[in-house]
Amino acid sequence: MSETKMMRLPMEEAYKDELEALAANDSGRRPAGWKLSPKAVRTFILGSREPISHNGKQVEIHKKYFGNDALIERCIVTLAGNRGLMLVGEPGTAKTMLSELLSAAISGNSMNTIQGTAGTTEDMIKYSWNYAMLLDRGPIREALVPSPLFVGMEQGIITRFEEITRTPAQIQDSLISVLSDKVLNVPELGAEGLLFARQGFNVIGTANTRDKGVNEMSSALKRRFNFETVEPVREVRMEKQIILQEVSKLAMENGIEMEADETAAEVLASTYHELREGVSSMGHQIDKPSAVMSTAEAVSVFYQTMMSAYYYGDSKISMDDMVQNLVGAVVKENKDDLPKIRSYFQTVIKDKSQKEGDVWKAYYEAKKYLG
Amino acid sequence: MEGLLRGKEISGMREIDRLMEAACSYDKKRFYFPIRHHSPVCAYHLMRVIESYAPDCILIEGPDNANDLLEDITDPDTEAPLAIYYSFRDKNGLLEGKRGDYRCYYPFLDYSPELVALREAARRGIKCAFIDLPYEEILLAEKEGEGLRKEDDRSSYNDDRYLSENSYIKKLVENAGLRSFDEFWEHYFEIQGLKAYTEDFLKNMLCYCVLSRASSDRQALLEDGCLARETHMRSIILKKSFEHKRILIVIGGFHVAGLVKPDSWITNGELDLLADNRDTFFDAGTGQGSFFDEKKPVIPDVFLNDNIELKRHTIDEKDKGVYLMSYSMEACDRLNGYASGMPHPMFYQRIWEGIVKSSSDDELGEEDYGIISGTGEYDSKEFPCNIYDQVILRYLVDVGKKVRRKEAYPSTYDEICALNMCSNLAGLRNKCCPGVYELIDSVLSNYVKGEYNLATDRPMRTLRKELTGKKIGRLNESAKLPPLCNDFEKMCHAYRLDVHSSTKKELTLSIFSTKRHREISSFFYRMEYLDTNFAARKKGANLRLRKDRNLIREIWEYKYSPDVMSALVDASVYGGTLKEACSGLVEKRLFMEADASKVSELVISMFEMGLEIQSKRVADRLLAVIQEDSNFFALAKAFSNVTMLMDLSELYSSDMELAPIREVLVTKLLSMLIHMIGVKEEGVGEMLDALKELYGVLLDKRYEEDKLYYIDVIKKMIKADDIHPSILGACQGILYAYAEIDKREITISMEGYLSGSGDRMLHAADHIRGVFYMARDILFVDDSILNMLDEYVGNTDYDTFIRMLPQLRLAFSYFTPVEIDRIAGRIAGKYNMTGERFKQLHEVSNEEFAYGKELEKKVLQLMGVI
Repeated sequence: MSETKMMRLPMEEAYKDELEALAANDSGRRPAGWKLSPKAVRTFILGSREPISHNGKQVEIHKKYFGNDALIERCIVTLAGNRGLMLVGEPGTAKTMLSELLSAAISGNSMNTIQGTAGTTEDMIKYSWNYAMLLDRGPIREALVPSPLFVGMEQGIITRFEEITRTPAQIQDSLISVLSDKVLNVPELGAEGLLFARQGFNVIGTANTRDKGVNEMSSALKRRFNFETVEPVREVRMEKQIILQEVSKLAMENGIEMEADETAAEVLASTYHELREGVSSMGHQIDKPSAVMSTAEAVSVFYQTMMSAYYYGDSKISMDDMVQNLVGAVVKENKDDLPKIRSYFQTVIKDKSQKEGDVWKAYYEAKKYLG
Repeated sequence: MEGLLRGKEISGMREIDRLMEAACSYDKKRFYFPIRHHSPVCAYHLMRVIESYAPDCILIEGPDNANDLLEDITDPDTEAPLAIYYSFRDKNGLLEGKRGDYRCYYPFLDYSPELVALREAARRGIKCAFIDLPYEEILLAEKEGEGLRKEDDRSSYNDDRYLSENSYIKKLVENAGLRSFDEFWEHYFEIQGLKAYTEDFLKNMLCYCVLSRASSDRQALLEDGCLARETHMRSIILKKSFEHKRILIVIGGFHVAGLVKPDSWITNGELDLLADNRDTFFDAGTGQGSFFDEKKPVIPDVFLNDNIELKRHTIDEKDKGVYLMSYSMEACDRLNGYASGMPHPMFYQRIWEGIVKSSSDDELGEEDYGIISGTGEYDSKEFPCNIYDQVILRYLVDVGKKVRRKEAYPSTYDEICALNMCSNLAGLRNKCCPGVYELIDSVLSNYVKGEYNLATDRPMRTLRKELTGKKIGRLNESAKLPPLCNDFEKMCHAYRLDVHSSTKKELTLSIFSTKRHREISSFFYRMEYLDTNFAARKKGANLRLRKDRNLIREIWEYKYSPDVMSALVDASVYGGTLKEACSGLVEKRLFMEADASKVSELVISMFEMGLEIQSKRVADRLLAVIQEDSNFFALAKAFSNVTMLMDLSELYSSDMELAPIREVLVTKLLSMLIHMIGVKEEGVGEMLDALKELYGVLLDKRYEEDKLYYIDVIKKMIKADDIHPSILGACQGILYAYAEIDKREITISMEGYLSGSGDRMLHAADHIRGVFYMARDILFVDDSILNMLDEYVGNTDYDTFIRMLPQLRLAFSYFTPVEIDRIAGRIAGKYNMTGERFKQLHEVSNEEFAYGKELEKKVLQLMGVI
């Protein structure tokens, strides 16, 4: 598996150096089955001020999650305990990224994942069979196809359950006994059919609270999880930082040799932030669009703009492109949001273009693409 | 603390050692104890210092005009939370060039170091005194908008802004990875400090306070009065030094470095002599020095404070007030917006109770005690660190129990997991035991089931309430009360109101027939206006909402509680009697208000409270607001309110002189009326009201000239093209009522709308509404209008009729039930029917009606009509 052919590396590969450096310098107590101590997991996600020496190199531990540090600490402590962790929140609030980071740091494996959909069945959660072998040799362990949950229990690693609420409620409930007893029974295997979870096993679920088509979780299952609500980023400064960091990463992965423009990132971060909060930095009341104005969407808009500049332009971010991409991102969910964006430009951006000038002026002039 | 400092800052520790030596030595004549207000750990170490240092005088930071209250504060019957209330009535405009009322609070909780020092002093017979400038002098030493002169409804004398609101501390908190200054404080002082030796704790405090001061600006300290206060405190300390041998000074940590000067520190005076060489001592670029320069450590001039000139002012004793009042945990909680120290008072109250219990408990095992830093050994002289664990366990159980009463969770297992999480979070955050922030985090994680939002936040709401607490303080019976409280007691006695029990009583008052009842009603209204929670009206006329004005009795509920007295103390800045205080508060609000309708509501309050327009100043202000307000609707509302009060004044036996106000309102409204022709749909209702009120008032012969002008304006209005149909109808109704036009003109206009096309016809109902609002009698003159309407309803199609129906209904709602009967009778007569016929009709269901319609359509089709 060559690195250059992969579109996106798993977290444990992308941050291999950091994880190794942290493990080598980790003197803290580790919960059984964990690759790192809780303090080192915290440092891996929230970064450290000083680099760590490892194999004669100074390894910088970058901050990977921006927002609520206490939430990260609660997540880590939850996973060290007896309960699963459920990350809930609006789309685009980095829930998946956070669950990957936690799994990579705790188990060294962020790929042991169940992708929840409306079509997820119980055997996708527990186990299924290689039917050819089953017919040929009967119910033996070799014929069993383990699910990520099975693997997690067997190896003592974290199992990630993405979009759990897209799975029908009765299917979700197949997790209940596993999470309580930490035992999975495979009756077909007879006396050898009991799989006891090894230490280090736990489940991180993610659930979207805003999209259509989600199923309510049963209260029995809720009781087996600690819930953490991941809020959108509340500071423009931080949102800008996330946009720059994520876009630079994407550009590097895809061989785009172009620096992310800080001013443009600030303009976009401020737009997303103000539209999400419904109030501008200058105090205007704004009509909130019904579309999800997430930081992940902002990253996507910025990256598209960057690609346009790289492939079709002069490697400089164009405000015209940015506004067109912004329109695309908003309108794909609800066409009625366009007048709201237009009104935002006519009030807030107009005022900013008069007060701040330069890039804001160009941004305002691109309003012609709003129709 | 040193662990958090950067290398170059540690080099500044030399100076902190020198300061420690100068300020906190047991063998010196003066011992300065640095505190943060409302801090159990400061209170704990302070008790130990009192024990070890054995002072013969304790001086405490606090306005010195409260020294007379010391006995009441330490009285065994007085219970915290309590507060010293300071007020200043600036009659001569010393502060802002105009009259103003100022007040502030100095709250004490059981664990406030100042209260602990006062109680210890009383117990040991040690002399005690406050040493700060009197409240009014502090205000006069401050620049507008700074310190206690900040716009704040509840400013607190002992907030910790110096220690929590500077850039250095913010950076320190960020670097420590903590979410707020309060978490930083709990981590490094409250929890770690409980295990530390007093000397180590004091050194950490001094270090932190010096760093806070080093990042302050001398000019800012000058402007917010800090340097003036320190100058005064220094002079009092010096004076007391002649009278006592060992003085303990309990003072906000920030001030220690301003009051104590180690010998090696250069003074301002000495600096002046060295003016030419100033750059040797201060950075030429910034004008500041730094402790932290390894080669050339210098003392920043923010520490040098010995030449502030103090000017004292002559202020009438009557204008100053200082009283003790009971306070509540809620008011003490900084999270409720009162800047009075630490948040979560009940949590720290329980910690304090644990500390006090542990100090007197000899039966604790070794495992209950903290570890001495650096040694890893237990020391029975040190305090148990499991106080926090115990308090947190109690909270988890209490909150769990309370939430379970309403929801099906949390389970006992949730509580176990939450407790476990508290310890693990503390470990992850390098805390030796969990504090309130770990408690909050673990309740959020373990008790909230599902996404955290309004529907699921009961556990957090319950926790927040429990962390704040409900405790209310109590004063001893002999505590000095302000005259306002005495006036309240006098009134209760005169009106024979039972204030000796705390049960709710009900009183029915015939306010229009008994003078005494009207007086009691005014008294209750006054108490209500002062927000005392003493009385509440259950039934009776509501003049503000214009409801229940037909009721001739008022039913009130009243209940006495200590809170009533606290609220009265709070209001005592406005006057010595209830009448004075209410007038004072009305006056204050009046000068803050620029909306005529709001001002008229203040006048209604005055009317209810039986007050008069007390001074020319108030009368002028009332007129000025009306003159300056250019909002027609606000003025119309004010006019309506004032007119109502004038109508009721005889009934309420009010002497309030409102005629001049109404005259100004009439003039103002008449001058604006012509500009209101193009009023939008949403303003039509208010506009009709205004026209009607004006019409009613101008019938009075005194306003004959105004009436002529009014008629003239109305005539101009009806000629305007863009006039709203309802306003046009109302104007025509007014002219008809004044006999300026006859019925025919109105009928023509109405016919024009009814026979018009499109939008014009749809506005017919608006026009009818306006006409009926002003002159509904027009319908009874003859049958012409009724016939016209009947014909119109018969001819109009269903959809158009439905669209007009709401306005038509509104138009007929102005008629009385008797009049509606008369109209119905006349319509019925037109079709040879009587009311009896209607009684025999049965209700037609929607299905029947639809079937009938369909049948009719079919028949008409067969007949070839459609």
